[in-house]
Amino acid sequence: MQPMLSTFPLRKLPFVALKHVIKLMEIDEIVKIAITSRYMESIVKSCCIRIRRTIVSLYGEYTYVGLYNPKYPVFQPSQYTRTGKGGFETLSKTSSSSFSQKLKSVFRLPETSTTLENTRQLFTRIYKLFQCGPFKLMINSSTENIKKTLEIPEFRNFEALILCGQHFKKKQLDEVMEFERENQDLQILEGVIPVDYYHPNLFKYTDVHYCDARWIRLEHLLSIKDNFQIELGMNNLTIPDLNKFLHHWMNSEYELFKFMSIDIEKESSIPLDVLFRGITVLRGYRFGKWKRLISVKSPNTRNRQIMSISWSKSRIDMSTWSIHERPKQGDRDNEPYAPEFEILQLLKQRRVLTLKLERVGDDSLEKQEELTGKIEETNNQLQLRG
Amino acid sequence: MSVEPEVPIVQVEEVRENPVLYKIISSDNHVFTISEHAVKLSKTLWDLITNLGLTAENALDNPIPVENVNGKNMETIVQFCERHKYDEEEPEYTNYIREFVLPEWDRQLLSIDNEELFQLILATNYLDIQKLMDYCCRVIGDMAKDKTPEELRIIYGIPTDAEDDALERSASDSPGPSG
Repeated sequence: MQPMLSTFPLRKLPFVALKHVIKLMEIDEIVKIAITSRYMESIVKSCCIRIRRTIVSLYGEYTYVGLYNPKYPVFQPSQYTRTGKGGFETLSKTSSSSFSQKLKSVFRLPETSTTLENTRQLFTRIYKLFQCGPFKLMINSSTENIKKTLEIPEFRNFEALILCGQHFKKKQLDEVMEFERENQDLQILEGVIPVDYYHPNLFKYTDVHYCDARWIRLEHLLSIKDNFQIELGMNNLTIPDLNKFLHHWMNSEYELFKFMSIDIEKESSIPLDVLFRGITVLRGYRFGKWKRLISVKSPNTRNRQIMSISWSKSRIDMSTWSIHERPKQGDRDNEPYAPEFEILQLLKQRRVLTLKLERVGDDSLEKQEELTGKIEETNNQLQLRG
Repeated sequence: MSVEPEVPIVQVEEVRENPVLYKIISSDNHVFTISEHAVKLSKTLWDLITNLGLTAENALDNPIPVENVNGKNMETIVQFCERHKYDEEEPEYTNYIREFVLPEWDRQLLSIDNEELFQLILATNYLDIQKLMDYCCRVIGDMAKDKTPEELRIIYGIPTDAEDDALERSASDSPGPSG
């Protein structure tokens, strides 16, 4: 015989108290109570509970919808069971080829639907239940028809599309690249991309992260325009390639990116003379670290006129800033780069004048004197700025 | 074997201050004394005290009648408020799921039967005591742990959709006020 459950007349509580009980429940209990009746579902909705992050992960039998709440325990990808790692509360899991019978009956999902359809329905219900905000869509490389998934209206407004798995096929990647994105991010966090792969839209997502970037070449980098953040993992780019890319950044008439990081071969020291060949570089100190600073050729056409470059044993980090904005790193900020920018402009000016002086023959003494005078004047200005 | 000399126990709040005290009368005419810091946890009572213009001098001569709360609940409430009167203020509710641990002392205090808990929540709601409300609601929420939706329906007495519909129909079918 089942033990008697002690009862509490929840619905007889004043409305404010009833909502308060729900708001103080843990997330899986809230979901369960919402599915007990339409009335309770409406009460849960009226609580306007906010979820920091939501993820829909499509991976065959491991498919789940996860809700993230910092400091909360995690739910194992099986119904309502807890474990203790990560930060996502997983509200559902599919079993073998379809949703488990229990989950289907709990959420009143159609018996015969596919995993994708059931996930869509489950996600829609959860999304309507809470104030979820932006969500991430994670697709595994085992998914054959990525296009079909991306065409589902409920899924297409993702904040970031995350691809994970082992090997990606050209067709799968094309489907992702050809998706009509709108200020959305692409992160291929795990898996191999064919070395001969190319698509003109490879930098069309706002943020782009390729863990395997061995297929990316210098000419691809030259197509970067108006990205926010780019991360390139393992790659075949050389230091001379990066030098050319820095020249391209300086000479462009438009913005390329805000942040960019490129993995480099571990343990090898960067030949700075190659990286900065033909570039006027200044050292600037921010956030307890020396950075190399370079500036654009046409400051009037660019919003971010200065680039800060730093590196570790395995990565080069580049960030671009307006000379008047306070550069940020995590929660901290620091002094704008305006003083360094002025010095960089003077250094560039001196460089140009020196080159001109070298080219002027001995027969033009007047011109020589004029250039020498200008160089001295520039030197004086540089001295004044320390 | 030496015997520890008996020392008087001095409660922290007593050495902190010479508190201003207020008297509260429950619906069944039990009289309770509560300190100023403790009574401030109840927004309703504190508003009442402020509006009545009660001061340190006249507080004990002017007991406050609280007709919606019986002596049993008032006793629990006074205990709770005295216990938590020096706690830091609760952070503002932001609609994100809030994490907090129900302290053992409070769990013990709220280990009462569900009918009593229900009445206590009504009293707490009326007196507007945020922290006690949080704790009571947490105790109720904890009843849902590891239960299925069907079990929740039984525990919380939640009617099914069909029952709700039937109730609505019977309400709309019943004759309205005559005249």
